Amino acid sequence: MSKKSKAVSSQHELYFAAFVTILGLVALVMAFGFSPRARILPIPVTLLLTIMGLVQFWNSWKQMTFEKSNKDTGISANATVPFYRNPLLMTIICILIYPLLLKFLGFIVSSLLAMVYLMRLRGVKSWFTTSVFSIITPILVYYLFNVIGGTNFPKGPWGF
Amino acid sequence: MDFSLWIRGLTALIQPSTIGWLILSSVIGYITGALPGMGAALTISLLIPITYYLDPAVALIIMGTIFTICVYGGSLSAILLNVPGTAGSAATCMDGYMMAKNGQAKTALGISTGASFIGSIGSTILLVVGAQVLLKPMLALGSSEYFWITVLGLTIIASLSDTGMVKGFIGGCIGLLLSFVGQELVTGTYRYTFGSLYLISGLELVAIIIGFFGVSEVIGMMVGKEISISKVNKLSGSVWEGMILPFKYLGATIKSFIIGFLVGVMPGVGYSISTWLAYNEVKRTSKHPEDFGKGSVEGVIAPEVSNNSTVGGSLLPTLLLGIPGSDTAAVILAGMIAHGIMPGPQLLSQRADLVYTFFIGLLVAGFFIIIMGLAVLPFAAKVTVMPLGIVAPIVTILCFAGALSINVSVNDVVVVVLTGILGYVMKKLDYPIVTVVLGFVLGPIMEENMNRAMLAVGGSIKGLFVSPLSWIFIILVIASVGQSIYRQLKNKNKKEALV
Amino acid sequence: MKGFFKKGLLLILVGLLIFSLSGCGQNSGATNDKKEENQSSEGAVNYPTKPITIVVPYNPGGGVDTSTRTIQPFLQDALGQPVVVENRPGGGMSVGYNYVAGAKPDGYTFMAAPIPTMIFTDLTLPNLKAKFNEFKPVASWVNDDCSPLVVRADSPYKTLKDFVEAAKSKTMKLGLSGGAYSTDHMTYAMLSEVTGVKFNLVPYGSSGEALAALEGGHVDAILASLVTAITAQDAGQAKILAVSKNERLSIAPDIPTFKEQGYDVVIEFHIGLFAPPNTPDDIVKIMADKLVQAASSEEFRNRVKEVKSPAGEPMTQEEWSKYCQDEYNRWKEMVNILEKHPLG
Repeated sequence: MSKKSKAVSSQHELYFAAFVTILGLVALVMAFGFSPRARILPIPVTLLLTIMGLVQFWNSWKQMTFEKSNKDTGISANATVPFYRNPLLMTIICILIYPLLLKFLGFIVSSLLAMVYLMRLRGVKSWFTTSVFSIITPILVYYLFNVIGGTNFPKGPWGF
Repeated sequence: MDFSLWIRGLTALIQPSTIGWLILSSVIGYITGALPGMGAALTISLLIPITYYLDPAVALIIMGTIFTICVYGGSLSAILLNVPGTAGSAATCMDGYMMAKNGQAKTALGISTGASFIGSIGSTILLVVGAQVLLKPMLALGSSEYFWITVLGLTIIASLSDTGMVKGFIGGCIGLLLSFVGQELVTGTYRYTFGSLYLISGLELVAIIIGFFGVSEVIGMMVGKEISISKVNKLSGSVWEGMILPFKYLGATIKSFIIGFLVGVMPGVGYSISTWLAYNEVKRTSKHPEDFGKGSVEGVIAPEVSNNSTVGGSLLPTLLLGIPGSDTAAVILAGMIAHGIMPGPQLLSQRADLVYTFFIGLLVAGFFIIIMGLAVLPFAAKVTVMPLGIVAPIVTILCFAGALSINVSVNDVVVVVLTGILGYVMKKLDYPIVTVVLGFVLGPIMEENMNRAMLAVGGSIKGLFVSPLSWIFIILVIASVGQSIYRQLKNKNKKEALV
Repeated sequence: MKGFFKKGLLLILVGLLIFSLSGCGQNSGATNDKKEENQSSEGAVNYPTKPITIVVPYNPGGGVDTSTRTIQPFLQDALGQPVVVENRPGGGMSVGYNYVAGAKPDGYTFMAAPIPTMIFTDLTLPNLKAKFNEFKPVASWVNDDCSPLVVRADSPYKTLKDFVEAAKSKTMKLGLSGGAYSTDHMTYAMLSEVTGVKFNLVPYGSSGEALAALEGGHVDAILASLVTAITAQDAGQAKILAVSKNERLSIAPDIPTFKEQGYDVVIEFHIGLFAPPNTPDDIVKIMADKLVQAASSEEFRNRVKEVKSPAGEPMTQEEWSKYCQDEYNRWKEMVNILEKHPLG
């Protein structure tokens, strides 16, 4: 139904459908362990999720065999780039590490590091621009949320 | 209606200190609204202790203004960054952000200004005029009716699934599954908590919204090749132009207004649902339903009118019965009681002066929407043509800060990151991620009301069908499902005919 | 590129200016309070010498939060140090509970917690960092709260006896304002235990929703928060048949209790401060005295009258410690009746 102009192959569709099916199945099995009134809704919902996952799996399987004969996937183009240059991978790693840093370094410092890294990754060349924005943004955000919002963001060992 | 009351209310308002508070609370409301995570409920509850030292009328004006402007402010970040400032702006992302991508950020912001203005002024007037008339029928709705209304809401999934029903259903089921996490209300059973204390109270709606809309978009910004959010790198349109559009699409505006107001009056249901119902209804009856999700003007009008009219609607049972129509209304109720203003039917007769000052304050807050809009928006819209290398990291930090502000819990940041990654993958694979959010929003309300309806008759499924009123909604559900199946078949036939 | 950068910088600077101004407004309050320092050099320990944090394990706007923010300015005056209210909601109250259980026991972190909810938390939740008994009870300042049984103003049942007798012949719908293991669940279980009557229970998410269901005629009676119920009764929409306190309420002495009508249902709600395990006793003592002093002050008493808070008389450290211990022993025996009377 949709145009597949993006470099997304049906292979990824297949993986995701498999993920959905397994998620649904695991959740379904767990739902049987709930007390009777607490599983009235979860059982049909997870069952539907499993079935829809299987349907989607089947659809993408058909689509993939069709594409294989056409021999075109846009994925191999990325293979030559080393992993630390792959923006998708590195962005995901960065935002996954962020919550870990938060506990030790506090909001301001970990946000500063994340900003510097993400700005360089997205191609900001000037170190001046990078440092100005990555210093001002976390401080301003911290200030806004803590003064107006009255919240209490995590602090590092140095007190901010 | 007593005219002298209006005059008295107005004179109470025209005092330098009152106007000063009005301006200050507008600014605070706008900022906390636009920042993801902080909503009106939080802001007002933090300000209540400060209002102890003020006149009750001023306190009411502050609370009303923040409620109104906060909801409006939430659209700013929804349109410009795809990060909804409050749950009431999640639906605005759909078409508002698409307009910003098309370089029409100013127009989209203008629409949201005009629409919010209509929603807030209109609902205040309806609050004054129709208060007593509307209240009784709304209370007649019980758990079984609520259950069927949420089922009706879930049928929206079908019409939001432009890329195929299967993907839409998967999205909706994932949303529902996420909403099951936590301790179940009736039995106290822990569902999908994996022994974690954090998960007992369930996942936060705000975290889910920031993750699926905000973080998933940020990943897209980091990976893409675009220079700025706006693909055309030039801003067309103007705020003025946009502000007039809701008046041009009067049908869409009125429909969204009514839906928003009625949903607002229902206790326990707020703008996180009314906006989607309005969006769906306007899409269903639009002349160009195919434009929705691609930057449709009506698609911005619908959620923007309805979220502000929900605000007015939710104040109705709050003032007249002491029953809050939403979480923010509950905080306002607490604030009113703290000032010795007892809500109830007698409020309009006994404390009429206060109530009318409050109404006038709400009306003035409506006009502040326009003032704030004209003052801030032309500059704010420039964000969409700023280089993504700067914008994307800033939005990332805003998303994290929004997640932290919910409970000051690092776990919420983890949820935001994980749902963001899931959202990005799903978006890449053409899954309509709004269905996830919809499932998450509707899931708990559906389940709780299903349980209530069944328990009221001793635990039998019959409870869902006994009330004659609920049959109205059952018929609506059947009609809605039938219509989407019919449309699906028609599309299929068309395609096959083309091939 | 340069243009954007300049404008962005300008915007940020203007923003900073505005917020530093608003920040000044807030800070000036704190400096005023600091003037009254040095009053607190009682005994050997010099306490407090810096701001004190009170953790509220719930969201802003709830009952415990509102009560804590009501006492906060008076406690601040009594201590001569700023008192900061910090919300740490989540997992019932277990997130805040665990946070305080692991906090430094130096007397600068306390938890504002409701009894018996805190005891229920200890008795029903796994993975807690400390037992209830390990916390040090300080003192309490909300002591006149309990659970009311509410019917519509036009209800045919004028007394609790009418209602219970009627419930024996026909199944009544009873709305609760909380779910499983909530205090409303306990009130219902006790009522069901002493009367032997079964109800069709309808649990709601909040007192407001329960009241709406009552007004709409979807349930016959509800258990709700006391403030909600009294407000509704004053407005002429509802009637309170009984309250679950041991004696009559001081804010509404005309409402009869369950007990005096012959049904032994006693469940009282108190809000007090708890210090983390191992906090030195002399520090707890100073804090307790200051809290009682704040809660007894004329201004505070006027304040709670205005806001209709069910505060009542404060409990001293001895009273509060004894009360907590007695309640803990009582609920430890009683908690199994929750399993006997499940909601669904």
